[in-house]
Amino acid sequence: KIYSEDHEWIEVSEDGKIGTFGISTYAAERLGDIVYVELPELSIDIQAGEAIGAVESVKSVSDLLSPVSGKVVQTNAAVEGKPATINQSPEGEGWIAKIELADKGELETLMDEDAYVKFIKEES
Amino acid sequence: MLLFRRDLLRVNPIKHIGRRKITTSSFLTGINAPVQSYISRSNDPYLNLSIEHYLLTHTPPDSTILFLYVNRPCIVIGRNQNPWLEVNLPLLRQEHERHQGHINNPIEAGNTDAETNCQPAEEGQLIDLVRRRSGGGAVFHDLGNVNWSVTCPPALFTRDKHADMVAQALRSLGGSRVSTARVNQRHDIVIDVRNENRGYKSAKVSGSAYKITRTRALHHATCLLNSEYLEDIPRYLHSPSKESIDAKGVESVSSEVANVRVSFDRFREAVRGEFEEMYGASGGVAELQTVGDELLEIEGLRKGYTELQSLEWKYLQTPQFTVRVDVPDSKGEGNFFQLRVRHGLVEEAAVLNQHKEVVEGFENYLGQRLHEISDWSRVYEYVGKDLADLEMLTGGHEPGQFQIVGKVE
Repeated sequence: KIYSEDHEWIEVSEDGKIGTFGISTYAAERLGDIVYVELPELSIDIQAGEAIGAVESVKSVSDLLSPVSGKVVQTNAAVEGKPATINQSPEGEGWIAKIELADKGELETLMDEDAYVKFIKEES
Repeated sequence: MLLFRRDLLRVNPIKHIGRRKITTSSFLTGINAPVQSYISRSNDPYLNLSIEHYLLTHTPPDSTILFLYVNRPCIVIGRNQNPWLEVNLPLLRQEHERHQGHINNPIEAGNTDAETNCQPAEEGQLIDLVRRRSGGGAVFHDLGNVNWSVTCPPALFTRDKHADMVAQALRSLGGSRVSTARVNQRHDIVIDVRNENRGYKSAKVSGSAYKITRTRALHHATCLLNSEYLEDIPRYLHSPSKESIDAKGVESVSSEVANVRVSFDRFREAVRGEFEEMYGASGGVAELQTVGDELLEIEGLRKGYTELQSLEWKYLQTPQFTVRVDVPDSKGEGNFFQLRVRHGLVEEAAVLNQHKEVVEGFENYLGQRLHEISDWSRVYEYVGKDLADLEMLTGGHEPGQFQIVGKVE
């Protein structure tokens, strides 16, 4: 599992083709109670860093930014029905979408868990 | 003692002040400054929200921006809200239809609902339904309400920071009413007002919403100065379809509201002063710059302006929901008509029995935009009577949108 500076995580499948992404535990805690998730559109091509959906918590709409480029192949209907799942399990059941990776090289720009923990400490 | 004449309040308080007006080209240069402050001379809610969104998306990541604007009467719902659930659409629709002279429309003539029994709207006083890009609940804007917003780097952002700034501005004006201004747990500004028992209770004067992007955080909020609509607000924000709808998304929390009874000029100067104190040290712009519809020359801004006015944005952006209307027992005990709506489109239209099994489907409605449907005759034929609950689902007030049934005399 690796992390972006925008507090998203991505976990790549064993064959290296599909990345599952969501928001980090730190981000979920900072957002507070999530009441609505606007999931990415299926089958659209996306660029790394692009806003592909949004979450709403405590009167705030926050963009969901894709950590990688590629195509959205699946979204998590469970979080649409029950947005609190993201608060309960941001890096597990609360995943947001699966993306078919366009450029594996992009993964190298992301942080491993240790680097991310350090990044959060510096940021706050 | 404050008395207001309606004709006085119709005048845009901003139009008559001699602020520095800027051209579009100097605006585009100015948006690179570290601290900026603007005031709009327009009352157009779509334009003001679009200017605000342009500032959110086009100013440098480390800059801080104050923006003040006053909108003509309108209902503004949050990005993830359901207009059928939050707004009295039949009331808006009726006001618009009356205004257009569709008084003989049989749909309307048959409607004796007290809730929609209102005076014909006057020119320029029709109320718009607006969906903003930020979160939160439904609010009512009018010329007696000022909207303030601060856009800043996300690292500086907290939900209370700028609400505290405005509460401080209000307190600085003195007087027993505004001196009690404070931010509550919902990040709203409240003041103490007299209650029925000659004691005090708190009432909301300013409600907040936020939009956070990769590089920026926007906090915008209302502030009720001298709104004439306080008593009308519940009528506009009460949906007659509430009981029939089960929705995802964000539901509003209603609060008791009050005016701060401060003039626009005093509010503006107090907020500008607090903003300057907070950010002026970093080379601030002290003077508010006046902006307006000339900014529609900017393509990106105009694009957002068009999108906000579109029916797609107002209605199809609605989170999925289900409408359930009981039908007479003669069609089977516990049967009900159900509509499943996703992205504003009808995904299922059927009469179900108490075991939720489909008894009769109505395929002709599938894929249709709910706000455009005004003809439910197929359902009525099956059920054997008209269902008032379905009539109320037609969209609010878009001119030329409605099918006129029968002969208009």
